[in-house]
Amino acid sequence: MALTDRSDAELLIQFRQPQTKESAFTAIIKKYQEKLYWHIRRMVVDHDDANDVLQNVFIRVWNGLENFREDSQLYTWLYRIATNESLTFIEQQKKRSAVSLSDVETGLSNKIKADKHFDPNKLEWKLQLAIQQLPEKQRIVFSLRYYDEMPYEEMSRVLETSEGALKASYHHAVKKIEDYIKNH
Amino acid sequence: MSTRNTIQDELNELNSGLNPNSDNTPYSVPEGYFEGLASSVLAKIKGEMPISATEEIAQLSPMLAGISKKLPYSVPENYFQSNIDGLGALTSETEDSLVLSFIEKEMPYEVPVGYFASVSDQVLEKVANRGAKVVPLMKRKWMRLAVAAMVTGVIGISGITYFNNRGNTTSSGSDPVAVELKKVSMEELNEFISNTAFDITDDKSPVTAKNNSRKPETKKIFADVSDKELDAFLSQVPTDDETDIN
Repeated sequence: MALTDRSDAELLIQFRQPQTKESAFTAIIKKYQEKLYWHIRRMVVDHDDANDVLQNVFIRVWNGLENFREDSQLYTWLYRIATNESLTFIEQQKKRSAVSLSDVETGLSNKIKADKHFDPNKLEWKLQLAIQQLPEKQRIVFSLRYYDEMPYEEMSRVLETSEGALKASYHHAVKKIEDYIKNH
Repeated sequence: MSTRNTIQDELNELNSGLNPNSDNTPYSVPEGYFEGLASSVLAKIKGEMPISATEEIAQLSPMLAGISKKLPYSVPENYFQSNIDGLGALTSETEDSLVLSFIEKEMPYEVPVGYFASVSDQVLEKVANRGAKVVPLMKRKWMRLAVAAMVTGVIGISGITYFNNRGNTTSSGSDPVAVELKKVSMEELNEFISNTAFDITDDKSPVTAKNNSRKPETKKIFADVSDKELDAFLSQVPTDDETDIN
């Protein structure tokens, strides 16, 4: 059986055994790394920053998986770590540069525009610029729902927010993005 | 028999004035209520059912639904494979290496210029100022106390022995006067005694004995002293008897 074919429950059992701990951890990373990476990258934009955050996520998973209570799905737990690490990274960026939130958003927009493949005429790039105009939490909600198609029930566990609030936030985000694209 | 007839019979038995045939009910129903009831109930049920993200975005914004979800960002070649290959650094056996692998080994602290060259001199200076070290012969306290007690005992016993022997010596003949007296003959002693004129009275004290051979000298000494003054002197100075009593 291929490593990634094992269920999350099996991987957790194997992780908790010393002789299979490393192989189970490798399997978990292989299974979720791309999803986690893109989730992070949509937040921080830059690849190097996303890589730093992703490495931190891996370390936290290694240290914390032993005590994972399994009161939620494994991927929910992983997404929560990735989201928190992304937000922490953004906060640190703000403190380091001592700038306001709007300046951070401007900085992220500039990073998008600095990408060598950036094309302002393409809707995909306009959508990324539009997403960066959203507040951090709303950006996460939109990203999880639009790109990862995460159910609201699962999202409420990741973000520890009610489903109703998440739905409202997502609907507002869609409206804002639509307006931005229409106006730019 | 219809239900209505059964009810009528029952009402008749009860002598009730109620008429089950009456179709007059006082309540009114909105027009078209029942026609639209099924669709409204279904809509409510659907509203509570989770909707897929695809359906939702299609409902909310057909424009966004039409945009490709593939992100325009580029990823370095073999990035994800390199993550897997590099997991060894994260999963090393010792917990220390997991953290230490991300920390540079160069110490961030500054050291004063010439510090290490001066350390040896400073240490030697401190050692010299401290002086010679006193090394006790006996390290254990109880041994020192035992030796001190022994020395004290020896001194005490020696002292007691010495003073006891001294007392015995005065009556035993080790006294030098007694030794000299042994060299004096009996004739010389008798001549001395007769010349000294000891008045051997009951008290046998030579202090109170009258010395006839010294009378003329005594007279000379006390020539200027009146008898009254002598009596006053004698009354003030206690005699041996008085001394003994006191």
